[in-house]
Amino acid sequence: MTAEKLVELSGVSKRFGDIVALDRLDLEVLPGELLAVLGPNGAGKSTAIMLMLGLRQPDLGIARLFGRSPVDLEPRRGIGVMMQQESLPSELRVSELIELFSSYYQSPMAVEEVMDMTGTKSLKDRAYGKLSGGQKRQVQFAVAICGRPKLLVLDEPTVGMDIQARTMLWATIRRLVQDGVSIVLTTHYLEEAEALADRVAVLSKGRIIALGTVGEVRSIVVRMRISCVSSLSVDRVMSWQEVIDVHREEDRLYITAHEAENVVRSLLSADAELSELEVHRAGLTEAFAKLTREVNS
Amino acid sequence: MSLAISPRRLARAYLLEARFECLRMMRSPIFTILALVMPLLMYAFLGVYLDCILDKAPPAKIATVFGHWCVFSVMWPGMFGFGASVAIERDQGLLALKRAMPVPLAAYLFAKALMSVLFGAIASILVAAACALFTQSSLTFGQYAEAIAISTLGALLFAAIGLFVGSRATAQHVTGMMYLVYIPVMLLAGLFFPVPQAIKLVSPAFYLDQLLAYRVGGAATGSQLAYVAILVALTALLTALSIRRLTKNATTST
Repeated sequence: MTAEKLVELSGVSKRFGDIVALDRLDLEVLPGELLAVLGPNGAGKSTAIMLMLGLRQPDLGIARLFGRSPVDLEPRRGIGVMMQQESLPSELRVSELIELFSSYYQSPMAVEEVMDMTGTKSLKDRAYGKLSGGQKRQVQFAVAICGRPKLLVLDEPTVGMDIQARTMLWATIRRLVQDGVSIVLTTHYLEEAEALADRVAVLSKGRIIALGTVGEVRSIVVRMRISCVSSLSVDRVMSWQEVIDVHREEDRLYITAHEAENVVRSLLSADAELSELEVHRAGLTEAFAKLTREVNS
Repeated sequence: MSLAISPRRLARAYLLEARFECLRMMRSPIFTILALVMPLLMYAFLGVYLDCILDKAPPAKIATVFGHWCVFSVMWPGMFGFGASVAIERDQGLLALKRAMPVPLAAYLFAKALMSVLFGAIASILVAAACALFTQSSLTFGQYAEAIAISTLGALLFAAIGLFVGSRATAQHVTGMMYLVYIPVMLLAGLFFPVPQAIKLVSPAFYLDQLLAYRVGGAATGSQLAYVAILVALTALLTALSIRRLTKNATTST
């Protein structure tokens, strides 16, 4: 039995004048998953989101939301949306905004419950226009989740948030996924995708250039990063078999290698004075940089 | 998977949308002053003092001037309160958010229309009160009530004009574009100085003004039924064209 697709973009293309925003893109969102859509500016992320939400029509291909056209009102009753550029009515208070947006759904959460979940209770009676940028994003998130959506679309949700608000939002997102909500997340913060996503889709020039779990996309770049305080010369370390790149910043060596174990053994045997040894696996950031570099070249 | 909503919940969505639209406009002091206080003050000075008291105007002229200012009082809420706010909300992403979330476009437009009608009603009541208190008007209570009702409904015409402009203009240009329509509509209707009849016909405000003049005993010509038909047809046409535009394009960005 195949899982029901909440969102399906099938062979969609979209042009704006001479610019190809999306080029025969295939993308789907499955129940209970968090799909992170990554890509440099102009990669087509926002256009893909607009097609999913029925705000734009594809020139070619099909966009489906809960198996129906996203232009229809009924499938949109299953979604909550937090857009990158949105401004809620500045004269309304936070609790009023949540009450208003809750009214569009059949079984929304209570206003108090939404404010508890999103850390907006202290802002309850404040006018939206008087909030800081980060607080406004928190309220936009509250508005997005108030209707108990089955699918949540979050476009750059943590831009402008302080660390505390971001941590709370991440925790709420994890809780929603645990409760079975599917989430589409676009973000420029790769650590956000790494921390939250079940699957990652990397877009470039309107096409998907990588799609898989975080581990699968990260494994595109099988590299280890080693750093330590050592007096060893750059040339000597560079001559070792597993080493790809070495550079020095003051007394610290930064080594990129295919695998860490042999390099660490060599370092420890060659320099008895070595200290502050750190080993990291290459992250999504490196994978993303490599993928987009390859496409651009 | 059923995602239907009950009629009761849908009705609540319409009501809350309308309630909060009215509430937010009432909380905007500039809008309230321009929509309610300005027509009253201008009517008190230009209409009551200059046209009626200084000129020792007869009842028919008082009624005609009252009709002119009733029209003027409902123009601002419709054109600027409705139309300009659509353009601004489209540019700021609120309209796109509402289109993406399950907000019926009809609920959004209904709320704004109701707000225009409400502000139009209050503005015309204030003008009627000034007329009754400070002029030698011979209008009956029924005529005042009729004039307020007609001008309040007339606010829908200006809301449709405002929506037509607002659905096409960007937030940056909407105020300027609205004035380009507002001022000719107001002046060519002959509300404030004599204008040849052929030119008056160009302005939608003229038809509302004539309808009001008939009901309050002012200077009027032509067929009331024809005026009603023109006002209804124009409102419906502009609304339909605007809805088509908004349905196609909720956003201004790519």
